[in-house]
Amino acid sequence: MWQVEYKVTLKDGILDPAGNTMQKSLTRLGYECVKGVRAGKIIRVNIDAKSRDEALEIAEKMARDLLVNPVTENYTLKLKEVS
Amino acid sequence: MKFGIIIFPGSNCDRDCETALNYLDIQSQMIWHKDRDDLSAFDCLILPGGFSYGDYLRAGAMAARAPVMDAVEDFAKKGGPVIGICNGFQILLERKLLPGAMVTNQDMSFKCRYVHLRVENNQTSFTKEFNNGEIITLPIAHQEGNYFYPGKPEELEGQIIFRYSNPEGEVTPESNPNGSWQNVAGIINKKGNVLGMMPHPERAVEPVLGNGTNDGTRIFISILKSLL
Repeated sequence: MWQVEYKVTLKDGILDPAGNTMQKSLTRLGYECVKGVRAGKIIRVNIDAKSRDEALEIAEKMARDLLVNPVTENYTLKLKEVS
Repeated sequence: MKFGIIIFPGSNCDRDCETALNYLDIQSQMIWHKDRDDLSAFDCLILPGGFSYGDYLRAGAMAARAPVMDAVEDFAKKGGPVIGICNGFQILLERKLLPGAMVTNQDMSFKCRYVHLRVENNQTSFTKEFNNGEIITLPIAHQEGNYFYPGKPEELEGQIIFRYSNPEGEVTPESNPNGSWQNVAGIINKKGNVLGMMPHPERAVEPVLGNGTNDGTRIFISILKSLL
């Protein structure tokens, strides 16, 4: 069994209202050093695959088919074997 | 003449559409999201508003991959008129039947109010009952209506159908309720048979609901007349 962990983030230049709202709150709490906040999401999927290569191929296909919208989002993924 | 209304889990404007069509004497039939039947017996398909699949992942993302959507895409590819309203617009974007994508409203808040729209192109089967530059009033109700297009406005020449404006018809940042690129409220595909719009025309048909506007009526009448 393989576990793929996707990190999905909005592309640079796409407005990130959640990040902006957190930034405003941090500034209000006195963190004037904060100059930017971007939010994203983590998605973990367990995959039954025979090999690392097969798991990676499936993981990338799932990103294209559903998990990531390439118009607005970027992603990276990490793969690890789990029992 | 028969319109089909697609119901996804979480659609909540399907009956509003049915009621509006009844009021206009247009026959309609509900279509369940798991159906895979050919839809060519219908004259027009409506993807109604709501929160399909709880808006999980991205608004419209799951519904765009629902079983019924293969038949919807076939219908659209053959030139059949398809209108996506609010969540229906998001679904059409996620299905790539329309260009661009939808992100959260600029100020993170749910917008539920009447807006002014400027009709940008009346040479379509959805807008022929309007005049170009006409200002109409329709209600919006959404949190993910911030339209984004990753290119230049010229690339969508003629495809921007409605833009948020002030009552005088000026397209200003102040009249943009959600931060949409180019104040876009509604766009059409290149072929001209698929329309997506965030405002709700079905809520501005019956006088008892429209809060003084029945501008939604002319969208449905435009479709009817283009089918005759």
